[in-house]
Amino acid sequence: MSLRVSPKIAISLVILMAAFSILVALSFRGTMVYYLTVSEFLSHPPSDLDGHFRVNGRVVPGSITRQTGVLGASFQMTDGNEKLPVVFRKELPDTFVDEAEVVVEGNMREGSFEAHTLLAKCPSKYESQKKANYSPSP
Amino acid sequence: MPEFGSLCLILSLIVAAWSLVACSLGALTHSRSLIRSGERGSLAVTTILSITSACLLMLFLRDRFDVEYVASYSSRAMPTLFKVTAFWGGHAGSLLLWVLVLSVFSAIVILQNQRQNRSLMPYVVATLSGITVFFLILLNFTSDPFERLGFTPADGKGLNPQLQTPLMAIHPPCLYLGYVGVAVPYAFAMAALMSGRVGDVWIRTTRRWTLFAWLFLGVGLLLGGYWAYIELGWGGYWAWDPVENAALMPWLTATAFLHSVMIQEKKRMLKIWNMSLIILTFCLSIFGTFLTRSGVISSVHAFAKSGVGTVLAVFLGIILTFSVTILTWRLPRLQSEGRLDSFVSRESSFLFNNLLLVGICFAVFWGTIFPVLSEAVRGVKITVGPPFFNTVNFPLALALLALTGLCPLIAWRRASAQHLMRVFLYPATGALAVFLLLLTFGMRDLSPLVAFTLCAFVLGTVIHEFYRGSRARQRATGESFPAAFAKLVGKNRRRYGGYTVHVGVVLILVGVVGSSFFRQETTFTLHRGESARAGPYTLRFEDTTSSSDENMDQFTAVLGVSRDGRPAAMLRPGRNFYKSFNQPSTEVDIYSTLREDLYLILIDFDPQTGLATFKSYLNPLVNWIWIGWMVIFLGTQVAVWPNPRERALLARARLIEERSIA
Repeated sequence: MSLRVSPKIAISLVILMAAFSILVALSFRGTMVYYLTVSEFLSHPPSDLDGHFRVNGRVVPGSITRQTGVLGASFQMTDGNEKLPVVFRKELPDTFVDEAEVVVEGNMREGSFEAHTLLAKCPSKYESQKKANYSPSP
Repeated sequence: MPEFGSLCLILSLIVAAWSLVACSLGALTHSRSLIRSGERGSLAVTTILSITSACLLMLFLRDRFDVEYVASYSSRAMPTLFKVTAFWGGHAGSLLLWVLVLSVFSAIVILQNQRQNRSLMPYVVATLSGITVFFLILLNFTSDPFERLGFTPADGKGLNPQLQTPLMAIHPPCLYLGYVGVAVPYAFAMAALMSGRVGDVWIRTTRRWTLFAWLFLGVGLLLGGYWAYIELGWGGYWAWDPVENAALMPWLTATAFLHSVMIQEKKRMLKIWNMSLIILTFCLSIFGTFLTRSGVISSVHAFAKSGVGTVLAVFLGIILTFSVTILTWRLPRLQSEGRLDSFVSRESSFLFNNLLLVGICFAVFWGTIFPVLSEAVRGVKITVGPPFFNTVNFPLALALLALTGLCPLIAWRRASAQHLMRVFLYPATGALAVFLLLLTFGMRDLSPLVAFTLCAFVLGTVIHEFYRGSRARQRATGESFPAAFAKLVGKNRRRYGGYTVHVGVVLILVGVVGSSFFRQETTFTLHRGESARAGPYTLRFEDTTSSSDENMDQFTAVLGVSRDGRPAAMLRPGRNFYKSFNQPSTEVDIYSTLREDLYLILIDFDPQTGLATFKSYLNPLVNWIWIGWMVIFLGTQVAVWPNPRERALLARARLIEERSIA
């Protein structure tokens, strides 16, 4: 080895590495969340991570209902196969519109998914490979 | 015109490939004419790519929507500035910008080194050309910005309104200057390995390139964070999004590299480590480039399906295999000439600083790719959110902060207790004073308490260093204190520039700790004329204004803000509705002071009842983040400024190199 170190330093390095691994492992534990599609979530939600889920899908067009005076919205999201009713009671991001790709985090409560966070994907930041659908000019 | 662009792309690929072949053969056969030809080829690539880019720019300015890329990111109504910046609005254009910057850097390297580093140059040019060839293959065969639609749409889709700000216009190029800048020290490192000249010539030659790349990665991070803060309306500036992490990781390893090369220069140690760091940094910057635009991390399936993911994996595989192979081959020449003796020496504190930086980078990497890994291994995707990154990185960042204070004060080799007492007494006292002050003012939360105390300690050590140095010089030369101070910094630019950067980092941490531990959110609904309180502020909803044009409907609420009964500002948060995007846009308004930001958004307005709902965030100290970056910028300027001493050291290193080769 080119890095010649005294045993004292070598030992402390090993201890540091161990401490670091423990830190990473501990931090991981509480924050792991399943990331599922709507169908996966509805068919067999895994139950080993204290019932917390992140689900992604698209907003079903026309399903967004807002109440005046109440923050957030209720809506349906889909992965193309199944639909999941979602309730979100915080302020919505601007990108939350019909057909937007959304990721919600939370769990089922009284028949709908109660989300505590909602991300809606900014349309041109992530570029998908699909061809754009234009209407040709006459 | 698009055909001309495509033609230029193919031509540049051919010439770049020639440059790669010529320089490689030239290096092997020591043929000067081949090497010169390769270098000229590389210069030609720069010219061709400039023309290609000008061509794409013209297509944007002329609204040529028959070109798919133009139609996807531009529209007739967009202001000219954003038509220009739409150039890098998507993947293909970003790649073109990347390779254009790379070719310009290659040209600068070639022109700078026409008479020096001649034995390194063929390898340098070959490496840079190799990277260029890769990107040109991508541009030619997977993401051609000149691809035609086959018909001409009446209008383009336009750029997302959130991206139509000057900040977003310059954020990507800054980040790219950083990403691409890393390629230059990487190429020199590879050249050092291939030519066997593994002394510190390559490090000293590329020192300013590395600093430049590091600085622009930082500026890119700053602009991205600032944009998120003022544009996205959630009151924060950093969310541990994969895209953000992608830019943070090479910045972290580059920071480690900037520190550890000093050990090699002074002590001829850590040579393998430095090589590994620059290889890692370059790989991470390639990784970042692709992650940013392709969103590959969102799913393995997307990763496998989008051609970009596969190509990325292949390219990274090639770079890693190539780099590690020649590194292993040259291991015998990279023997360390020094030895780490003492715990309390600058060498070992630099080593720990490096381990911490790489540790943070590793934790961020792990958290970023965990969804992909878990899906590949277990078949189900598991993500970790911001809490993971915060929990892991907070203690690591504190340890790093402590080292930032300790490290520059500890002597090389072995520090004596007496010396330590002398240099630590004042800063430690200052830090203790801050600690007690914060306690008296009622701060009971341990984490920010420790963080602020450490910040005070680091600030104290830096101020003390500046003071001690100037005093010593004053005593020795009899100059006035300001003159001694100016000369001290002028003669040791690198050192005191570095200290200044540390001050900037401390200020950023002060802002981050303040705004993450003491943030207050308030939501309130008001009629016109009613008031609400947010911390020390009273907000009175005065009036609304609205306007409309063909592009968007604007709606703005006007609020009078007073602090402790005294009027402070008028805030105008609003909501715009962009017609072509069918999307609302929250317009944030901020009352910003050094103490805190009052960040206000209009969530909803009901015209029937006249009720408006607002959300306010009190973000203490957040301004210090932006100020910290400016200080870093300043410190880096001091450190990169040309300096006769560095030049002399480089000349000496060359001489030693020549002797050891001969």
